[in-house]
Amino acid sequence: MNRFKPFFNVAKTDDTPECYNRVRYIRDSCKVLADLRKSEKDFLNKSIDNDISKAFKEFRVTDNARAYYSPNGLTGSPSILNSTIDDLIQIHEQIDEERKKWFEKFRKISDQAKEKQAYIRQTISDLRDNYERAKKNYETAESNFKKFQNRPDRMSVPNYDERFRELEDIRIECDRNRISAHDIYVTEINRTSSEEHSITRDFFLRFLCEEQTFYTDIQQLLSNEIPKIQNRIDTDRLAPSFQCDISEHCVKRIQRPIAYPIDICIDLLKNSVGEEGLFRVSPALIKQKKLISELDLQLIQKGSTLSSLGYEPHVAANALKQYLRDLPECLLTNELLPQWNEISVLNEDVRIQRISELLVQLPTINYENLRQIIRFLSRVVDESSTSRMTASALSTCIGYSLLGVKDQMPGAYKQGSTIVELMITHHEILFPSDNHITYQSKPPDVIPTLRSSKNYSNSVEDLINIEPSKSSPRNSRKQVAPHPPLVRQASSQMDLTYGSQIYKDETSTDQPPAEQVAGSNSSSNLYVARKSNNNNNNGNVRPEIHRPLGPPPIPPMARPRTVYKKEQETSPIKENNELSTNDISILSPPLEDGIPVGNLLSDLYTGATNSNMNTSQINDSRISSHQYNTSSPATSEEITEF
Amino acid sequence: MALRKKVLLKVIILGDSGVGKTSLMNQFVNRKFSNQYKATIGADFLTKELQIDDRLVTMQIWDTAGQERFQSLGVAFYRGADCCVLVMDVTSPTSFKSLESWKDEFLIQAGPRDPENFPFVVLGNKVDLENRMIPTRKAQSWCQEKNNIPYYETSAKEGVNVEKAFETVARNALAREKEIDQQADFPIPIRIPQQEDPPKRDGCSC
Repeated sequence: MNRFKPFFNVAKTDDTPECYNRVRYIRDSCKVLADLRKSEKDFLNKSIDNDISKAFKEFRVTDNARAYYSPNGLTGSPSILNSTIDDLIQIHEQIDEERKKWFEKFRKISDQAKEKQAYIRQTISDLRDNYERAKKNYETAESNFKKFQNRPDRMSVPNYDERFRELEDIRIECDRNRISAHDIYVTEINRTSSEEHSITRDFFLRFLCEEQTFYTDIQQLLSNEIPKIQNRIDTDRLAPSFQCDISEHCVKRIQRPIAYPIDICIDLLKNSVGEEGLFRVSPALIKQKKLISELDLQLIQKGSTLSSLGYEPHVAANALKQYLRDLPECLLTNELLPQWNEISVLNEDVRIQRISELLVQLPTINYENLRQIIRFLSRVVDESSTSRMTASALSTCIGYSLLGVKDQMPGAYKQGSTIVELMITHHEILFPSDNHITYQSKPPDVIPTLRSSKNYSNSVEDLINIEPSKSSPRNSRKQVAPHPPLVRQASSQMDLTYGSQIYKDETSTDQPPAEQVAGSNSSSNLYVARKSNNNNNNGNVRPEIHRPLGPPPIPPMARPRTVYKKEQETSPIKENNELSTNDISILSPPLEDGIPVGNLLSDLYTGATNSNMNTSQINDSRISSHQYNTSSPATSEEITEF
Repeated sequence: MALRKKVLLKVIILGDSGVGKTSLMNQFVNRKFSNQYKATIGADFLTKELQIDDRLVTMQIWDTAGQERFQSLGVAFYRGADCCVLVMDVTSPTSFKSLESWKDEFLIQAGPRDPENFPFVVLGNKVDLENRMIPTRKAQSWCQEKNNIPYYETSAKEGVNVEKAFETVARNALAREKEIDQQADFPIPIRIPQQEDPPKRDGCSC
């Protein structure tokens, strides 16, 4: 009889059902659940999140933290660390808030569990007492009955039979009571046992579900917040630029085509192109490191001079080299490395053409930066009478920085210098002057703009989040990215696939070459009349305004430039077709022109040297076009439309 | 005495870029000076035979690129060097300051036995130029500090002191060679395990 096994812990009566075990278990488990809350200070009310936010809050009010501003010269603007710690505090406060809500929900469960526990305890013990009493009664009746039955003088007792029957009746009655009390008791125990399921579901499962909601909410909160912080870090203009991917740095962060260190180094060196051994002679290492650390923090403003900063030209030149060398991927891209390396095997006469084909495949950012560098190097070469750096000497020194993979064997260094030498020598063809004007539709230098933004508002939010409604130069800068004329830039984000679609984009951006040429012509005016702002504007407005209307008629211009533009238009198509036919068309114009190729080429050179006059002033013209863009309402309107 | 074996000395020339390492080597080996201003790629060597007292010495002179990007190539070139020539440009304080790090770099990369007494020679090149920045005294005192490294002021352009400097290089290297020979520490011969039972060929043996 399993059901009536002795029950050790309670009464050792064989009539206590085994279920009683369960009932006790059920009751006690409810108690634990209820006690979790009762001892709330120890369990549920304990919150690490609260403690964390408290700890950071305390940190934020310390003198050090309050005095801390971004070290980047923009006093008052919170640094990335600063605002992230603020976020951390806020997030943990929110988590703690959630936890309090969750705790309320849990309290209901706990209350119910407590009730349940009390009820079980009360009912069971009542019924049990009842049963015990009935049993005792029965036992008394039984013993009375037995005693009476066995009385020695039973024969002498009057109306013995009557009393005997009476006692027997009492006994039977008590027995009946006892059995029914027992049945009620057992029934209640069984009933309580059967509540196991509902208790599990209503208390324990519900508890877990509430917990789940809590954690899901937290998870949601975090997965909302973390990308925001991540994004802030990614797009932080002041993020270190050394050893950082160049397109990430340019597109995401500073939102300018030219990487900050390249821009600054070239700007610093603009008056030192004649320095002997520039890019070859090593500078004092400590100074180079200092300059690099300053470039990393973007402490140097454009327009500073080497002498004001206390650097020799070699410091800046080597910092530039180191920046290029430290790029995670070399400027000419690792992907194209095999193709670049093939160039030195090619015949000399097809090398240039092959280089121009590969340049088209470069991501836009890489192309723009490369162009900036090569054009600058060509200026150094122009001064080789004093700098002693001929194209070949220069390319030996910088080739590896532009095209090199770590752990390459010495033989491979040669490739880079060969290619760079060709690029420098033929830069007019490979890097035609002014399609970079496209970029200059962007608002001006970041640094001056930030300064002005500081003027219009000192509030922290304004420096971090840019509300689109405000029409500050900075805003228009933000809006620039999707702007159609900048397709080249946009496409650079998907530059790894040189699909036909991108070629289409490229052709479409390269389409307005005519207007760029117009721009280039005007930029030569622009250079001449750089000092007078009005002229600048007029000169530069033209290409911008014409753009939405489609390609304007090609204005009369230097012939060589047209030649190049054709080449640019054809070269992408050539990638899809076979090379051979286009090989010819690249350096030579379409045949229907009927002009001997040789003439054209020589034209091209002379024209290019003409254009070189303005390109050598590339920085200046760019700056002025920036100035134009800040001041012109027309452009910013055009931009904000998109 | 003439029976002594011919000696090959490996000499490494180190120093910042543009101090005249290649020019010094060319002046010494070919007695030529080129005004060409060209950076060396990687490393290259020339040899020259030299009579030192009674011995015929072949100097294998390794010219290295001073460009920072090639410095990591060092290990391969530095190993087994018998002497190291540190070159600076007397018109460039930077190149003088770098001597220290070139020296340390060399000792780390080459890992010679007894680095304390490894023979170095310091050359202050371009003394023909007028805009001299490093006075002789300063360079000499630096060399004395560093365990009395011999110091020569040279001009690769005019061939001043070049011959003498390299002779010192050879002598110092030889001196060290003797010391090491006396120690007679031959490297443990590497045993090439003999293949037992060469695999039997099936079929024709062609």
